[in-house]
Amino acid sequence: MNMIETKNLTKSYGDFTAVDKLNLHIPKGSIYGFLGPNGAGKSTTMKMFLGLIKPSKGSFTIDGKQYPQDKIAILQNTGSLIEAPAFYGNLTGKENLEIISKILGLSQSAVAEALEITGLTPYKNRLAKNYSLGMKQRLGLAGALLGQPPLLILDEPTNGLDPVGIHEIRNLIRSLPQKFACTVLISSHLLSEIELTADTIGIINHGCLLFEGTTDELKHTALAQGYPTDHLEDIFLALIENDNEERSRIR
Amino acid sequence: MKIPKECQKIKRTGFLPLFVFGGLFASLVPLLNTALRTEVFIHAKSDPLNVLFDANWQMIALINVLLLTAGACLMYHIEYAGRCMEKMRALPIKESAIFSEKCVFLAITLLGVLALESVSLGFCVKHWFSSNETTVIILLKYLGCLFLLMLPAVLLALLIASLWENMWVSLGVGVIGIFVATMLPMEPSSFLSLFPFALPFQTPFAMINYKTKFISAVIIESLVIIGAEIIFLNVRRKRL
Ligand SMILES: Nc1ncnc2c1ncn2[C@@H]1O[C@H](COP(=O)(O)OP(=O)(O)OP(=O)(O)O)[C@@H](O)[C@H]1O
Ligand SMILES: [Mg+2]
Repeated sequence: MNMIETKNLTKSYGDFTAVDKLNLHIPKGSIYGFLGPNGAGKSTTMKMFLGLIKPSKGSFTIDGKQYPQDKIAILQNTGSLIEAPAFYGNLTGKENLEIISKILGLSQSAVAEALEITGLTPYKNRLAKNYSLGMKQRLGLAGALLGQPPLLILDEPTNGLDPVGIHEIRNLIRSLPQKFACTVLISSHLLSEIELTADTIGIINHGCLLFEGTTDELKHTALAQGYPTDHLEDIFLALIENDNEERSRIR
Repeated sequence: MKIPKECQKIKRTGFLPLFVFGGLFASLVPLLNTALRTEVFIHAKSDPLNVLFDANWQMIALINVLLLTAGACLMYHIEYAGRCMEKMRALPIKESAIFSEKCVFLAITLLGVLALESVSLGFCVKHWFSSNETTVIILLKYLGCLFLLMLPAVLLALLIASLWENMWVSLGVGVIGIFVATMLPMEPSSFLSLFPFALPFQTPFAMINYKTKFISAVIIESLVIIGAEIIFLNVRRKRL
């Protein structure tokens, strides 16, 4: 059973195609690592799932629900953190979460829980504009985790965190499927960053899906195509490089 | 009791102090005016409230429209400044619902300001005029009239505030709207007095004398402005 399925999902801006006929299969209850270099179209794809931008072509379903008919139902069950977290700078971290929890119709305890889980409890009464970069990122993450939604869409959630923070958040994300029975879609530039967390990975370059499967499958593919297989990171880089070369040859 | 979202969002932005001080300042206008010109006022032939509205309402209304324009800009500024609107779009709430919540909140805040001003006018009558005709019921009825006349301006100010992500552009456009309104003929019989920002300058007497005209104007303008906001939100969403 797939939580998210896309069918030839495409987004073009004028004659530039940011996401090109994407066919993703994100299994329920798993962590899906969405990998790609800068400008590959990761954020664009995630924004389409949230209805923040409209697909130019193609379609997708989330938990069997269709966009755009079931948009509100999809959003009710999805926690998200897209690019830099957004918040009301004039409110404290706690107040920011209270606004979101009111919109989701959650109880007061949900806010305290999200603060606790992200380690923000000691700073909950500080104004969000005075948060450090890492605290802002945690606040964004707390907003996504509110109410333990069945689907989490996290765009580079460890951006701006220190090594300890990265480790902490990685462990937190790792534990989510067991704890809350949720599905996590997480994007990154670095394979090393998510290879320990993700069950399945999808690699995207220039809007096209290059690979989808488990890390073991990635190794097999690499072996078959004669790429170096010692480090997963090298496979990822080789895949991207190869694809870029082919693109320049076509042009 | 649950605090409404909009009320919580504008914490620490200076919104509430702005309205409290603005309302108090506007309420001082009739007090000072009557205290300084008592003789002229109490010897006027017409009804005390009529005299007071004629002498003070232009000034009070100007303060009110400035307040609601600034308030509307502030309310949308907090949404656009930290890209909060984007976060809101990824939550199960429609942008039109955010607009209507802001309308209700701003309208209620202004009702408070108008109530304060009515109390001040009532106090003037009680203190300086020897008239028993002005009762609380009449004041409440006039307050209702003033509130209705204010509604299209509240909606228009919020529409303008939602159009531009840069608060200063919205504020500029709003202030230009107010200037236009003050330059229009104010006679209740004229058609131009129906401009949304000009309506709050009308007195309850004008509204009662031209009941159908003003009530239908308030209803039609409100519907048109709400329709314009819905169209704008749809167009903006399509362009994403
Ligand atoms: N509104 C827009 N108009 C034109 N091009 C756009 C627009 N939004 C995104 N793009 C382009 O689409 C491409 C994909 O962008 P996207 O933000 O999805 O990349 P990404 O994979 O998230 O990259 P990063 O890792 O840097 O976050 C980029 O080339 C970007 O310039
Ligand atoms: Mg991105």
